Amino acid sequence: MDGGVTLIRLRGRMAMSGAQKIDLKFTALTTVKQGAYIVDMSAVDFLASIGIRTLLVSAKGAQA
Amino acid sequence: MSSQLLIDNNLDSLRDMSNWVAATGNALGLSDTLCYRFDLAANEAVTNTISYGYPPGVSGEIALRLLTANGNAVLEIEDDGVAFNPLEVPEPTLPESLETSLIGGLGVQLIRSSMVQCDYQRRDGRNLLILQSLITSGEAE
Repeated sequence: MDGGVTLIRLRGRMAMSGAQKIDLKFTALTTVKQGAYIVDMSAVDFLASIGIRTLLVSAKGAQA
Repeated sequence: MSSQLLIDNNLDSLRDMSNWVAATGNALGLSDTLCYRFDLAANEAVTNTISYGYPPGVSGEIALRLLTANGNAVLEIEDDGVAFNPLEVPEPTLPESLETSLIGGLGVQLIRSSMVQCDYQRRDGRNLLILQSLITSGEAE
């Protein structure tokens, strides 16, 4: 996207197995590069606290 | 009508559990919203039980029952792990900003907010969590 904003699209279930599957890649994507990120959650049909954790860890990392 | 699922204390069992909640919820005629709420509550409760309820290397058994009674849908979760009442976990204060937010601690809150009533009993050396929702409550939204 323009202006240094990165769009990340997630899809599927963000329960234990789904969160574990994307954790490393998602955290790497959002911490390697400085800038803003938009996470499109419109195709995520289930979100458990483990998935909220993934988002929160990355959001804190991206802001640091 | 009721249905029971037995799983072992392994996080890989959570996927089977979710499939069972969806299939049983559908068979009981529960709405998609209500099935989602039970799926969420079961994921949060059972993830905690598997992660913290057993000493390392100790195998355990978790039983789930989904049933309808008197206009309520009821999910019972019974495990043979260490005695623990998740409903005694204090409600977290929601953070005012990303900086002040803490990682974790939301699971029990998600159970409370997705259910109408939550009860806990310690019975015969087992933890029993009884989660209830009105059958109609998922359909009004």
